[in-house]
Amino acid sequence: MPVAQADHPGAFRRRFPGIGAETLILAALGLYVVVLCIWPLARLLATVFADGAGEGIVFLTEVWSGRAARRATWNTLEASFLATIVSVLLGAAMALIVALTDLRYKALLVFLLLLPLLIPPQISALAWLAMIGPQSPLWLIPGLEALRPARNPLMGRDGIVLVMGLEHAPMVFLAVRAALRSLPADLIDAARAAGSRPMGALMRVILPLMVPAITAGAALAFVSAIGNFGVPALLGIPGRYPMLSTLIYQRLSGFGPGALPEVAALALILAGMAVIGIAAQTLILRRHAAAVDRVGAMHGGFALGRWFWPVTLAVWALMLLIAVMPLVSLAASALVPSVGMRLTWQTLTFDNLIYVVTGLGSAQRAFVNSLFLAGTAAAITVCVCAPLAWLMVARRSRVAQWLNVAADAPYVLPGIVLSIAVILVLLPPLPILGISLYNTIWILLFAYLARFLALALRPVVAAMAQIDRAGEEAAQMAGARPFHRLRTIILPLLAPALGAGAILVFLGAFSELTVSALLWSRGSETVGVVIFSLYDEGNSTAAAAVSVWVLAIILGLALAVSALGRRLPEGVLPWRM
Amino acid sequence: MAHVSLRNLTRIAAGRRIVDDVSLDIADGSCQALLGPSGCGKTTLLRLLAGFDTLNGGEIRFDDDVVARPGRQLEPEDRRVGMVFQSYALWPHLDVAGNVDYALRVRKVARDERRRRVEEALEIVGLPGFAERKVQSLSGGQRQRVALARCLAMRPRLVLLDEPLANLDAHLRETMIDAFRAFHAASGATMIYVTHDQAEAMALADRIAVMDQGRLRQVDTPVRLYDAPADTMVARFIGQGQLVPVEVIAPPVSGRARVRLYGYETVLRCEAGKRPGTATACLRPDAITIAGPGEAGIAAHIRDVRFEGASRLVRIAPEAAPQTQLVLRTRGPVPAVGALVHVTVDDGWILPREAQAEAGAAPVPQAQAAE
Repeated sequence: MPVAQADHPGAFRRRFPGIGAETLILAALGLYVVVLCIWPLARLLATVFADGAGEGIVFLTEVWSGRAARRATWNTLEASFLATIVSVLLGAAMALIVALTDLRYKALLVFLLLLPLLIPPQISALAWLAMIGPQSPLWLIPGLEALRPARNPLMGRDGIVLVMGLEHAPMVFLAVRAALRSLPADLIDAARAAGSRPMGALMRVILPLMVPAITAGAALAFVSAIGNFGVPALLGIPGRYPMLSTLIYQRLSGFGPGALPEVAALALILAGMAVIGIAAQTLILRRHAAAVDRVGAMHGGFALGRWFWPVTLAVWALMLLIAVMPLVSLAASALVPSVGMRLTWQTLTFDNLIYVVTGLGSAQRAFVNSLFLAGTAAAITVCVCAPLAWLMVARRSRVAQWLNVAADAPYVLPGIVLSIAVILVLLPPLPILGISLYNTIWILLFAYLARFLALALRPVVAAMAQIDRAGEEAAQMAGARPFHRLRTIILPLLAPALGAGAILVFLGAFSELTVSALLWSRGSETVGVVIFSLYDEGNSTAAAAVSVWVLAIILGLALAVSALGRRLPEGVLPWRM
Repeated sequence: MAHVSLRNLTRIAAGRRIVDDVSLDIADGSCQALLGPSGCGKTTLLRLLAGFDTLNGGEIRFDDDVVARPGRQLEPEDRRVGMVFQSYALWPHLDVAGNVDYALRVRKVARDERRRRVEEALEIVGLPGFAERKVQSLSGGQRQRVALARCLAMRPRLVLLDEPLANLDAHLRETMIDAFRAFHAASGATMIYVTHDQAEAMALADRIAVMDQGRLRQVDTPVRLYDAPADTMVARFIGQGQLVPVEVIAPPVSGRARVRLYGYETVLRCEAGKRPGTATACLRPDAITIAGPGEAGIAAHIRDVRFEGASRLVRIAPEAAPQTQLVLRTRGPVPAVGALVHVTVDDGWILPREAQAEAGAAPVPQAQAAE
């Protein structure tokens, strides 16, 4: 049977590559990443060092020697350091408990612990204010009435430390849990065999091996803390505890674009602090990678025995207090007619929830804007991620790997730094077009695209790395060209990760405040901005009502993506067990 | 369907010559095995043929077409080469038919023709009626058959197989070897089969190329490779060859020469023109026999005996060289461990080349244990 004959005589064409499809895709992606991620940050540097390196350093010193700047820098370091301690204690302890004990319902526990990854900082701050404040339902609990404070004790440093500490605990938790998962059970079993009790094994073997992960997680928490804006804005501005991010915000919104050179210098100081933290984290992790052989199964967990119920009760009480109660309090404060009223059956009303979506113009616009911005940013970002991850992983393009690193910069640097950088490039009229995007909604889209590219790129790259390379090679052997392979082989296999990436970007962008705070204008409000403004005007009830809507949307989406979770490759969703 | 010709093929990666000056001609429609230990460069050679790796020197031709030379590479998708992967590389989001007719869709073959060819290909690989099945629901052997059908349907002029049996258990390998033979007969394509398993190579290939450290050591039929290895590496790698020093005492007559081995004289096969003097001989375990009482032979002590079902592997140490161990296979009775026996050598091959050039002037090879 003569099966083997060419289909068309011309099917075997002589083809030597000139400028191929791959090169074109790479050039387009390169332009995208350079414009969004490198151009603004380069302009930020250029603004400060416009008159040469020496002049730039003189200018930086000058700005920094101002009383307000020095105070803000000190406060930033102080509050971030203390908040990091809170994050480490909570994150590391919970990681050890979750990974090494036979506690039950761990999945729910992890979800509650990782909630701060989903909930934007300004809503967390509002929720904590509602819980600790004089109107909190907490003081209705018999026995606690006497503790009711006259004014809110969270205003100022201690509140910032507490809320930021809890907000960034997931970073330490995830770092330590990942390290515990790669810790071979043999090491622990060997310690037990040598006569150590579980506590002894923990102190002598496990904790020493966890030091790099804890330090790396702490560095990450610290970098997040110095870049945090939502918490210091809600607790620090009224509490007269300025930090660098709030100082930059106040200077720019107070003095307008004239203050740009000065805030650019402040932003650069903040960025420098972040870079030191990131470098520390990278170094620690790199050294750690060589330390332990990642072979052997994970430890099954110690039986708590008679400690089971005490530990269970303590852990769940803590979770109730730090994860559930604040949100309940926030909801309660949205369900009363006005600020200061207590929630009872008589005062319960849904008017606020209805009012903010039907009667309050700024909030209505904000929901429309945020849905549009988050949806558009998610869609565009995913379209960029798929070919970029493909070139980077499957085609091993060095250029694509550099673009991946560049895409990280706007995500890991403090958001306020990015917003200053974006203003610097988009305030002057655009070349060729001659129009300025400043004061339009497009500046927000630009900033979101830059900020969240890395957020979607990471899971997509992780998924791409898990796709068998031979699958694409088989398609090549079948004669499929790059675009055809992307469409018929890569995209279908990458689809779940792309979906997850899109939802992560949507979640991040939907309630974003840090970047938006300086970029919004009348008509282009976002929900993050509206919550902050309503709170700033003293309308906490409306702020809480908007927050409740935001939470409903965010948690609904998170559940949707978790349902998708079973089809996702490992390591795509941080909150999945 | 294609005569494949490799001229001085070289690939350098990370400063190492992964494939080093390889020249090989593969006849149209034949099945050529590339055999060698892991890391010898055989998979890289296959990937050069497929077009996934670029070469640093030399030239690849399919018939009269140059497909690759330094700086000028035909893209893999333009080579009309089929490949069967170790991991099968089936696309999990497509069903069996979708996998098999992928190449036909790429080439815009009409639907009826596609269906006909899918059925035909599945028939040949022994999976009729599997077209609608999900790939995930198939066993390893079935997946490999689908991969073969995918290859068949695209009608390549050359088929590359990269360790296609490595992920299957021993029993399945046997039946898959039959499937490959059927595939080869049906397609008529030239096949190049990479493996580290000599049994597989010998069962399938018309010719075997043994590779080591990026170079071809010997290209020959399976029989010649076993009977007359070209050098020490091939002798050791194929069929438990053990190398012993011999003294050629007379020039060969019609391919046989008289030699002295541990003081015992016998006749071994060799190349014409082998000069008297020291040489290295390759002995197979089956060619060494325990002599009957009173017969002459090499005096040796029995070191240990391994039961292998039908036969026994016996490790002996010649009295003349107690540090050396030889392995023989026997079906007869074996004296106890420690006993003194005499063994005769009935067949053997005097290597034409000495060890000189390889691995930094290795000393005269010692006989090796059979493992």
